[in-house]
Amino acid sequence: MLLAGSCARVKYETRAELPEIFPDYVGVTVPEGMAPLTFRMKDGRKLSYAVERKGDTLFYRVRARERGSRRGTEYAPFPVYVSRDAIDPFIAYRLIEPGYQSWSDMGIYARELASYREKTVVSSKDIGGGCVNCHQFPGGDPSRMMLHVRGTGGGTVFRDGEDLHLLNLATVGPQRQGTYPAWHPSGRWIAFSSNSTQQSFPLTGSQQVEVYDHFSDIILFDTQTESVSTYEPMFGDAAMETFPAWSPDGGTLYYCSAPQVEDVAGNRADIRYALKAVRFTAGAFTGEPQTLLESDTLSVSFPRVSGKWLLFTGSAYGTFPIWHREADLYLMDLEAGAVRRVDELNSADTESYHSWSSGGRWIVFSSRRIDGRFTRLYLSHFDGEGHFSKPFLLPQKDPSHNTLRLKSYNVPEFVKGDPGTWSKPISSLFAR
Amino acid sequence: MKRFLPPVILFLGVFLVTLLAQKYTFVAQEQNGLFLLSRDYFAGRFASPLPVSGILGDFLAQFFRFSFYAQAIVAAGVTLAFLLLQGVFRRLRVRWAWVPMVPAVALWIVVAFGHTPQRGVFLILVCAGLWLLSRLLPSPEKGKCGWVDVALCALLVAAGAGVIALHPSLRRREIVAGTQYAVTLGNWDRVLAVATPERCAADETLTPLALLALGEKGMLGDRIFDYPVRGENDFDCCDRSDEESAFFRTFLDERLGSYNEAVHALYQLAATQEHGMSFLVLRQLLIDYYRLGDYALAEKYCAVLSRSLCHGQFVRRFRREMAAGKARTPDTPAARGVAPLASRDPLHHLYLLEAAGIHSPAAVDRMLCTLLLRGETEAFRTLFDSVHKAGAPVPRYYQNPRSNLSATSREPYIKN
Repeated sequence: MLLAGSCARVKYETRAELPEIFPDYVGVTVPEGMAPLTFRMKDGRKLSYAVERKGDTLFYRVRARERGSRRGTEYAPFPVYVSRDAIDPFIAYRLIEPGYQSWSDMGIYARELASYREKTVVSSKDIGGGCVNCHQFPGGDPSRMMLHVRGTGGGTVFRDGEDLHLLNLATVGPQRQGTYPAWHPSGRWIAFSSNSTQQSFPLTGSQQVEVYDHFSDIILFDTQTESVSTYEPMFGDAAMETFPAWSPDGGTLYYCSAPQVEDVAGNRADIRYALKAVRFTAGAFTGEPQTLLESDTLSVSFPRVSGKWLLFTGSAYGTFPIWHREADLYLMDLEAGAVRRVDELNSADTESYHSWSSGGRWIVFSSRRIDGRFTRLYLSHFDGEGHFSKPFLLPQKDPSHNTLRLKSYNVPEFVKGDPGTWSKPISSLFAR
Repeated sequence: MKRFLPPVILFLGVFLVTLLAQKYTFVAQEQNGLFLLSRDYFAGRFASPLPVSGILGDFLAQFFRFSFYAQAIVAAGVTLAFLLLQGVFRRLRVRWAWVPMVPAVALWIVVAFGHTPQRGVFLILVCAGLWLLSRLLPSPEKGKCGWVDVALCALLVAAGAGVIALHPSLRRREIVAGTQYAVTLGNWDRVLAVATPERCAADETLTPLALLALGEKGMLGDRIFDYPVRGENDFDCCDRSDEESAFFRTFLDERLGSYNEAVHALYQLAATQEHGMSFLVLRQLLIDYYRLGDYALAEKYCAVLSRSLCHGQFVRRFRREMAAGKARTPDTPAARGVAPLASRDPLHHLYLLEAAGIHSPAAVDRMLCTLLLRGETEAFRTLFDSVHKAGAPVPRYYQNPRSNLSATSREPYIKN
């Protein structure tokens, strides 16, 4: 038994109900070996707790009292289930102020799940204040990574072990910048969407930012030849294609597509993206894309595949769900074609970017459920049968950190090891 | 007793000069500063150069919000540096009090020119280090302090005071900080008293704030061209993206009732701050989210501000008001999809605000003045006729719009 606090002279009244704690860890499933859960009473009372493990379940017995009071309450113990299903040991994400056009400091960070340690992978300070975004590790490999650096002298940075390489995609092939990446499981190709994105700011109402694309296409980058190719059904003026994602075998590219419209800002409420798929063999796309999901009420973004399961974000319209309060996670069974809203994961506020652990038994996703603005990371266990466990907030050493942090978590991706820091090599790359 | 006079003279000199010549400069340091008992604040500080002096400087700057605290803290810091240096020089067998007064006054000037107290704190820590090292030297005989010494010390303090009170860049900073502070309080008379047409002619950053105050006082039509207005950019800062323009836009949008845009401008302002956030921005975000009825976010900023040492009362007030108030219900996706989007064209933006039902007298005046500055006299007349009440006096510069336009292209810009 671990005693996390003791109050010898305090009298505790025992109650049958469960404590109201923040973050809500009551009945969640956590991976074996994860950093201990830390929490506080929602009403601000001082708490102490003891943890007892019985098999694969931890029981937290919480006592709470007002500061200085000699009377308190002991609540019924709540369970936390421990799963032996493997989870990748790191999560990489971007931290950025949650809004608008400018930023003071942003970076890509890696959080070790077994501890509370957060390491800087790349900071905007390393590259003279530029924007770093859309990082991706192929298959979660910590030794390889790509990210975009925006601003003067920017481009796409590729890392392979100790080697860093900067390439401006707009200087090759169809001369288009890359935006959202999807690294092919073989590691050779990267499918990018190339988006002309704009932010607008609603004058009235509860939504304060809207983001949309004026146009977008899918391009394919070959890391061996450093060439960019296009595929006519996914490139051109007829439609806006975005959010590419590969199937685990690399034989299919999933993406989202909406018909091109005039005056995107004015018609933004009518733009809904469908989920499509196209075959990929021998380094080339083949055949006509298939429409997997098209709806008059749902716009699809961020398809992510693990086995036969495709998880995506659905919103009422548009292509940037993080600013859409109604955005929720949906799960599609690719074999049966069935789709369901994953209510066990969703909240009344935004759920958006998500990523599967390499074993397919865990997901991490971003949600704004705490305050409606600052995105935080939640983890959930997947049973392989289409069901998720109650999600839980990424634990911090001090639970108040989730409230006090003034940055949002962005694009969480599982990584199979410590990606290390790039500060010095990327500084020298951009100093040239 | 004479030996106590140099530190007393220094303390009083620094206190008075800081009070008279740099009152708002130090208030601005609090507004642009940040000190939070949070992991990210300390991690950010320890990732920056001179972390200890940075943390101590931020800690001290949070008290600059209160009257006389900045003066007392700066005077105490400079006097402490003098006493430490006096101890060092005595160990070095230098008995004249005016000798340590030279670096102490230099430190005062460094503090006066700094945008944060960090450099000053660092130098005081260096003085403390030297004082500790000097303890290794043999103890000196008791120092003597004659009237000549006292007079020289007073002369040095006076010289430092002269530099700080008269230096043009410090004068400018004080005027800008004083104007901005008056804007944050909504003290428009004070804004107009500080940002006079003459001062605006010398410092163009004051003009938008002065015109904002004129709008709030309903005097734009009577006095706009008393100020050095060359065009729309002097009026709206729409071509700028610096700290001062973000500050201006924050309060302009707030006064126009456009809180979504005020929040937008606040985030732009935060991006220009050293920590990516500041007390001013945190307080304004709390105020604006409270006004927007977004209590979840307002509560977040309450929680953040309660991790500083000086916002207890401020936070309690908002928590009380939120407990008694009602949070707004978020819009449906359908309503959000047709919400008007802010325009980069200031005139169009004002029209959109009016069309969205966000009315303010200042917005109408700003529309009229923008039309004047654009030379759109027909549109000006149409709008003016639609808003002008029969029998009400016609503002001076609305009487003959065409002549005003020629005035704006004339040098000098101030009309008497």
